Amino acid sequence: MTLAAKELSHILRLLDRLKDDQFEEVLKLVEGSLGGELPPDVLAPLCARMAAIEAARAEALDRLLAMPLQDVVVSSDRGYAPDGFIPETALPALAAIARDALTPDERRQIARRLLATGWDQRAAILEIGREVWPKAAEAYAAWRGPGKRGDGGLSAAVRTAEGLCRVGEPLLWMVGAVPNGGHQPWSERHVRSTAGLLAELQPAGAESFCGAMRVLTAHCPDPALLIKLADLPEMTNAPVGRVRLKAVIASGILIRLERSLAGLAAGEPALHELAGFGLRLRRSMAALTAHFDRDQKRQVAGFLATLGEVVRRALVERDLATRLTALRPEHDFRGIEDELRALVELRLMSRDLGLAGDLDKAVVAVRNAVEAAAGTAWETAAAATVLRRFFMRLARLVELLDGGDAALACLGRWRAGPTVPATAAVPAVPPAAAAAADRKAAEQAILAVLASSA
Amino acid sequence: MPDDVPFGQRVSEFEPVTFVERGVAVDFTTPALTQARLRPTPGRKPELVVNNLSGGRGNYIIAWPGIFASFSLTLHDRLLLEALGQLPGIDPYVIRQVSQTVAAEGAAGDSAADLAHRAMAATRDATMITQLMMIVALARAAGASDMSLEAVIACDEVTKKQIRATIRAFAPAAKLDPETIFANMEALAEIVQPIGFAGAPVKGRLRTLADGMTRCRDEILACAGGFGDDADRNAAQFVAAALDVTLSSYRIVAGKIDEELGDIVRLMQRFMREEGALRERLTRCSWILDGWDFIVSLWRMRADEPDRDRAAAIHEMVAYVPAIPREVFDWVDTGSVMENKAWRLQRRYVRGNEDWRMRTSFLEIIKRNEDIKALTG
Repeated sequence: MTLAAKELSHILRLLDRLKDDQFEEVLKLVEGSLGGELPPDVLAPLCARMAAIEAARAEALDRLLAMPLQDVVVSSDRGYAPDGFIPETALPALAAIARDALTPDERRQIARRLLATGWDQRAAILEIGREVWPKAAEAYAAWRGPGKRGDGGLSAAVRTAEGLCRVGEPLLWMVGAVPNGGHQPWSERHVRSTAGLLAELQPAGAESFCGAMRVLTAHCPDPALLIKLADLPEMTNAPVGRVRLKAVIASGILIRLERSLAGLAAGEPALHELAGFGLRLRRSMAALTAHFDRDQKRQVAGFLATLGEVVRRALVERDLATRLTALRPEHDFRGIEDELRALVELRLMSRDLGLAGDLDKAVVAVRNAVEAAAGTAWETAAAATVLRRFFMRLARLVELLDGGDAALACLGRWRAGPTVPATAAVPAVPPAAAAAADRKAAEQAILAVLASSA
Repeated sequence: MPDDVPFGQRVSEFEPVTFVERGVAVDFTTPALTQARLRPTPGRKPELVVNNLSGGRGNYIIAWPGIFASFSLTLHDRLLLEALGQLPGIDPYVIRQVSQTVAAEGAAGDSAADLAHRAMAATRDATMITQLMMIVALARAAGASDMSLEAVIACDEVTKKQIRATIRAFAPAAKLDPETIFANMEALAEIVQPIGFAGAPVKGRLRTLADGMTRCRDEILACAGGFGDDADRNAAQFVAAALDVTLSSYRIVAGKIDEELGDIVRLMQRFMREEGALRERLTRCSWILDGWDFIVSLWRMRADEPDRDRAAAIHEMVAYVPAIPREVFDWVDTGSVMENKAWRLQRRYVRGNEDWRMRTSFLEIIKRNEDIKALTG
């Protein structure tokens, strides 16, 4: 049977208007009535759409299956995943195991509901997940792989996935109920309410409980609060002891720090990203040093050394002092202000971590650069009102570095009239030769920090 | 006064009797001085009423020299205080003008400076529109019933002449001096412009703020239903109740002002006879709503966040909810229902600013305060 081009295009247009489910039904009917034979010119576009529908369904189902695992998935660039974590390369295999626990009809039904729901409707998605995750957990429990040596860590990943899927729904409710670590930080109140939610997971066993605690390490920005959580009376009946629970927290936090630092070291991080990491590291050291074993302490020392290197490199790359010296009234100061704010935060954090040497020098260099920019401003032919605004903007930079008093003094001096440029006083960020000596000093400082916090 | 609370326990709390005693909220950017209130003192420079620095209940009253000695002030706040120290008197409009002038210099950042310039231009426009509306009202009262705002805005020579002639002819009958009318019109427009005429083509700033407060109240109550924690719910209900009382007072006082503005001839007569008293009556809404633009902005900044994250904003808002002075009962004159409501509100436990416990950096709070300055003008 052949169709005229006009008829074909009309039929395809009609089919195009159908929803996926209707399209599938029509296709079945037509295939049935034609004895399974459809003309190739009709078949080609229909096959493409059917393939897209199938792919979207498979993707939705896999995404649902991976939901309880998402906070313990780590990238596989180092070839292994630490205990309790799942390498991302294992996800297809895990999805395949879980999918096999469902009949084709169940898979189709669930995928249809997922596609009709939308991922932002969290409650509805969790409702669907409640039917799926326990079956996935059973499939993981029943899975027998080729053995520990031969499966490249899949057995461990399956075990972890089983624990998390067993408590999938309450776990995700808990994650949805805790602050996201963004604008609203955790407080003592959140620790208490989270303890109540966590206590409900206790009957699921040690693997699930530890898994849930690992998931929390992705959401709580201050490990001290997690340690408090582990010490609460609600944790008395936990399936693992407090010491192990704290070890789980410590290892979970370290893994996340390690991954973040690797990302920072591999890229060109902004100063505020380094300041944010430094803050997390400082909090982690303050809360967890007592719970670290010797290897973990060595690992933290490695973090500090790497962070020092990354900060040094970032300071050289950003070369704030040179950029500030070249500031002119017409420049936009918003980005510069943010960078200086981050520099100051970074220096505050670095003092606690014993990494402040380079940053102190960088701040002095930046301060002198601001003076230099102000000193040469009168040489530009800018109007008085423009200069007035320019000095105010520079004074705001001094305020970030040295406080309001110093800024007010500078503002008065600059506005009074031309001064001798202070460019001669701008020290350079330490050159490579001096960096080695700084590194040695930093290492000693790191050891001192660790010794004092142990 | 409720029986269950002995009077003595509240003596140490900040329960001002008059609005002047409550002071005017100032947009400081120094974290410890956020929304501190400036109030006059007899014979001396003004003093500051600051929220308890520990985040608990109570306030500190800081004398002028102590402000500079006790706090590490931002550049913006030093410049602002320098300007505030020169003021002969304190009221919300003047403080707002000074604050805008300092912000326009760029002391609180470029965004705040741009917004201050826009806000100052908007104030000038509002004054102009108010003045034109007064001219229209006066011309209509004088018999030019076909006079419209559009004609006055177009301001062609014919209209100008018509207005002048009408008012000159009408002035003696209304016991008004025509020259004084034109001279006083600008001063009166400047007093009226924050609230503006009810039917003005652009709503007055205070009317817009009141609308924003009403929306804020509705959103807070809608949000509170989803809070799982009693403390969050109570805080939300407290802010909503404070908004209720403030808005009720505002509506009554604004209604009275609208009545006064409705009779332009009497308004002009009164302005010539009793300028001080009229000025006091016409600026009452500024006093009632003072401090709420900051609180509403705190809420607006979290508009896109999930409800559970907005609870933190509500707890911070609680710390800045202004006390309601007893003077408001003289202004609204509605008997004891509102009085009881306001007193109940004031003796509730007020959760303080929790930032010091959250280890939130001061730089972040300064940045946040500057962002709000860029939102509110």
